[in-house]
Amino acid sequence: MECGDALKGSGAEGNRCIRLAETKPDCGCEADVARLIYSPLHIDPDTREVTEAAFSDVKDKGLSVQREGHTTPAALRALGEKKRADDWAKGKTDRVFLGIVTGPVQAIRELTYEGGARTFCVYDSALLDQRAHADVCQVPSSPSAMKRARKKLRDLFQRMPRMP
Amino acid sequence: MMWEQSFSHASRVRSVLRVPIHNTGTVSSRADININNELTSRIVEYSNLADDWDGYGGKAASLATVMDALDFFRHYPMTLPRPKSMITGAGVIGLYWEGNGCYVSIDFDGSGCYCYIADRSEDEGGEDRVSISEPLPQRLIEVIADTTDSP
Repeated sequence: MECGDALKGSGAEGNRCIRLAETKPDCGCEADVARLIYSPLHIDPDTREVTEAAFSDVKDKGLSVQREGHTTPAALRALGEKKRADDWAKGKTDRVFLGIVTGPVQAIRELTYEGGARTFCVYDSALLDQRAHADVCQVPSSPSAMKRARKKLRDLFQRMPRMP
Repeated sequence: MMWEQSFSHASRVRSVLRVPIHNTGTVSSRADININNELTSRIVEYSNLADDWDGYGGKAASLATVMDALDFFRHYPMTLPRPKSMITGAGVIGLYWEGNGCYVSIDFDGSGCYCYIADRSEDEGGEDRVSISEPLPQRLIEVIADTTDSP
């Protein structure tokens, strides 16, 4: 939930900090982020759940996500369907908009490696045509530690894509 | 991808790899991989993916990566459960097993080595770099076995 939601209602203006402290004890107001899924290869054919590999972009190019607090379900669906249509027009007909999986920003930021070092950062990387755009990036560590962290990242997200 | 294209490509890769279309069940060659045709085909198909296959600039797996993933099965005990496969946007092929609170996952990047994690709910294990030519680490075997109930 965004901070704005916590401050809605009469009488909030003069007690903003108290209202936030009460409703946001973790001192954060960040919403979930949504990853749009376009390839069936990222889905386990038996369980229909997303694989660990679906989150692998965090270690190099950045996992492109949308901040749910800065967009709407309708806009997310339109974004996914437009990309699919654009790709089909380019002949990329293996592409399907399968829906989104969402994960909580705060919990993502709180994941740590053994020893306590932060594992992931979530950066606001708004684009001209996607103001809700953000990137989840992985802090470097050993290959196995990074791999385990990506599995934990997968576990933080919803496992099955859903249509927004 | 059309099935015929996939099959044709798989045949070409297998030819390079000297892996037959059908697993013979014999021993002592790369043809003895302990996996079914469906998994083999899926792994081989990863090398035939188009650029941007995932909508985020995804790359196909290299031939070396496919070879590493298939070669892994040369040392794979036939009594262990079969894995599922996955591929990352960078073209890294993964194998994974999940069940009974255990999760095992291996990454092949075409270097001739693999990285794995083999985690139970109560303990975690793994290695950053294991040669494809080596027998499977005991930890890997044990946790893979734990992902399914004993017969």
